[in-house]
Amino acid sequence: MAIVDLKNRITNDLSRYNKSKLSSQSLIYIDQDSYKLDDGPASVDLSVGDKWFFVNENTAYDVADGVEINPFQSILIETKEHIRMPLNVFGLVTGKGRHIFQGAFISTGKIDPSFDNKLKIGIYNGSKKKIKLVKDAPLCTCVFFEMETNLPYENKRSNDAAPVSPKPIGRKKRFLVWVKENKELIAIFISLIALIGTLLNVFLKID
Amino acid sequence: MIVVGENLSSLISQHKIVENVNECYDETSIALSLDNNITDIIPTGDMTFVYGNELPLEWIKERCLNNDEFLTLGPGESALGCSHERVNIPVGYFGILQTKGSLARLFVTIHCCDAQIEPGFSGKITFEIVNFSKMTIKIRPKEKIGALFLFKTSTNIVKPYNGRYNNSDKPTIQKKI
Repeated sequence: MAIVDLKNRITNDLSRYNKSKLSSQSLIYIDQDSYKLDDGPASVDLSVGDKWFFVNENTAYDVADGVEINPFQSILIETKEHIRMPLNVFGLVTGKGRHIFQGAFISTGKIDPSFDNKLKIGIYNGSKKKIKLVKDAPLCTCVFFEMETNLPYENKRSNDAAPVSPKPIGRKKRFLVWVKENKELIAIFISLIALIGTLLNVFLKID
Repeated sequence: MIVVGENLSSLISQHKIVENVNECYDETSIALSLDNNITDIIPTGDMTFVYGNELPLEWIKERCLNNDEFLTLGPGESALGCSHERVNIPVGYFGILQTKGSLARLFVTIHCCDAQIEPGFSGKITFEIVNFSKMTIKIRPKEKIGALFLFKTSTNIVKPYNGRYNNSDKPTIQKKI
């Protein structure tokens, strides 16, 4: 098993990627020219893209002028780069030194063979200060390994179609949105309470 | 590491190692066939040759076989042939040529211990065909007679081959050292 030499194994040409998916010299597709091989041909840096997410929430927020991570908060940030993996290469995502010195942690992740999407990178701010990340800033680094076998099939992963919200909203506003989205359920719930009250009233009168 | 299976077939198309993948891909190797161009070396005079010199031009006879014509080799006879396929070895890979088993079992070999095809080589591969048997052997052009095995090299940082046998489109004769 060897670490993939990225100098010769990254392409932004989709037809070259498709042609080589099973080759012993298969190519990793990255749609941008902006990826960086700053630390040599063994690892590639990916950068902050357009969207970020709260953990366990599917709504995407626009990075726009940057995203602030509060102390002890974790969020997900989508990479700018779209990655397509061949069927015989496996990737690992890890943090960059600059985040370690800020007290932030990138959650380690894997990139499976045939993965085809933008990556969502988990970042946790373990410091007591807010951390701000701006669009295109270096986010994480990836290392790729050659496998001893080819994946016998391709995973079909569709692009996420999460709605994009310009700004994150507060708890109060989120509650109001929830009320608006669930007004029928709330009406049924109130009717049930009224019904129970009426029944109790009737029973009390009989007694 | 030898490259086999779908890694090999995909590598062949990716780098156009040979033009026709379906014709040449053979699970663990690339099948090579005999070209119509043949070069005979027929010594004359005292028939002595000093290694390191250039072959006398009058000893070299080039010919082109028709598709229905045979390359005929009597017992102990030899000729220079070449692969019908033009082969491109990508940097990062190294080729080793072997005689196809069915021909080797007739005591015919297509190389004289000169089986290595270096990274960056491009062209038709010259065969040193020798009939070691006691039979006369006839081989048709386009018949599969060789197998090319590809090995991955430990690094890509090697100078691509650009030697005197590169870009050949017919059998290449021995060249002066």
